[in-house]
Amino acid sequence: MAVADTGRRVPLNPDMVEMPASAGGLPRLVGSCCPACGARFAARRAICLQCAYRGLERCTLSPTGTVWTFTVVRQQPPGSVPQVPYAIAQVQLDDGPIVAAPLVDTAIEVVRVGLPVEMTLCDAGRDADGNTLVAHAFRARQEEKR
Amino acid sequence: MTGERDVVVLGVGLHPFGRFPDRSLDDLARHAAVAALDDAGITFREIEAGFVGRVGGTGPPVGVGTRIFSELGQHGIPITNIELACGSSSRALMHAADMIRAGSAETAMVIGVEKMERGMLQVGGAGATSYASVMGLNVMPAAYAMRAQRHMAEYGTKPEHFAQVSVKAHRNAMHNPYAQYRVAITLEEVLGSRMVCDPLTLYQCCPTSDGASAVVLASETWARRRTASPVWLAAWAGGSPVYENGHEGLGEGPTGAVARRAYARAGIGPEDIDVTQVHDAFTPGEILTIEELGYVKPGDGGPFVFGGGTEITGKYPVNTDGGLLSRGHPMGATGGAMVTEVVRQLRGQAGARQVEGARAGLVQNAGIGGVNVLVLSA
Ligand SMILES: [Zn+2]
Repeated sequence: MAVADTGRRVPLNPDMVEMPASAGGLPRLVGSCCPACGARFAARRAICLQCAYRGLERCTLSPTGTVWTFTVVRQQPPGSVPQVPYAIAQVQLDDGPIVAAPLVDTAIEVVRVGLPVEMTLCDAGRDADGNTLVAHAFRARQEEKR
Repeated sequence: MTGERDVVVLGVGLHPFGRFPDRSLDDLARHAAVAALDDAGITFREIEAGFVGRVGGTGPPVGVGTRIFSELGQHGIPITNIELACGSSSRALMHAADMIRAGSAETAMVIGVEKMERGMLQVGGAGATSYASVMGLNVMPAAYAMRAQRHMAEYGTKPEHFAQVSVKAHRNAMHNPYAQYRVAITLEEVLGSRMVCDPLTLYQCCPTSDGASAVVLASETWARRRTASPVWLAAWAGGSPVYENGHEGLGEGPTGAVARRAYARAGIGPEDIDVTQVHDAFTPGEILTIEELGYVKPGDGGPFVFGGGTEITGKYPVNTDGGLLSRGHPMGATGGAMVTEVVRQLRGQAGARQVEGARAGLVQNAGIGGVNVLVLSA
């Protein structure tokens, strides 16, 4: 029997995505930052790649960036939630790190190197408890909303 | 350098690349190994160390090296498995050469072998269920496609520049009896084939393949008793991705820096290389790599290839045997096949694909997590 939908959204990977603390808040990308040299990294890591400091701290990363490069996937990879054709990108965040992500809510034709983008979430299936799983994604920045 | 011995490539051999459902991994490996022993003119009992480069598609995952070498004989030599994705057998060759240079062995054999499943290459193997694969990011052609898009944005490289790599590869493979695809293809056919990851169409992606390669190395003093005209493994260098300015190893590694180390050890420069094999798993592999190797300035790779600069008759002949695109890419076997082609070129045995007067050759073989550059000379 199918588990009832709880209506809750939980991150597929809590080491990548932090959900907003309050309604109306924005989700954030999780990263690691170095108290010694200030370097910032996408995703969690223990040791600084820049200065070898041990014990990087969890931090949230800039929700905005630009497309460093991209492609449009047109052959469905097994296990992928996004369905072809979909764009993926390496996004250079405004605070430094580069992170790979799907581009959603954005027409494929407008995707280009240098496109300003902002973080959002995309659905990544459902867990056994009926929660909707979400993962990080980016979309073309909607400047007029800012 | 004092105390270091020179290394000779004494023998090379291949099992044809393609699809061989009736042949086991052992069959493929044994065929290539026997061919390399015969080419070297020696028996297996004269081999003092064995290496196997294999990634591991179908077949047993553990102890494969010892099992494969047991097909040839059992005289107790050390046998080592090396896995560096698509760069496995060239990395194995480097370690075999290190043993000989250091005096730990007079001879060594490297077997590269693979049996692969059909379909699109998956980063981390078929069926990987990582966060990245769920998010649709685990797509091998996409990695090359994104490097191509960046190159297009930075330098104005065009889709037809990339497509031309495949046209040239297929034409060269027509003259290679070991190649998987021996059929010519036009620029229009390459550009018109199904789009896989923009700007890469299907005919710009290497096939999955079965196949094997084998290479016999020997110390100079040992080799001198067998051959009057040795091909030298003059220099070798390997690397892994470098963290730089927020970029965490987007590519396979620092090809440019690794090549400069190999040039310095060989005492030559890019202008001295007569024939080259590069890792064209996808067409951007050739254009981006010839820039990193210093053959052309960054950004000039596309027009250089499109103008015929990497043809057999061009200034820098590249992938004279058809490359990964047409010769095929049984992952563990590829590095050894690249070395095999350069050796045949330097011996003047390449037939219709011979580069006239080739005296020095270079192999660039890359896999997820690493890149290798080897320089050979006649
Ligand atoms: Zn640091």
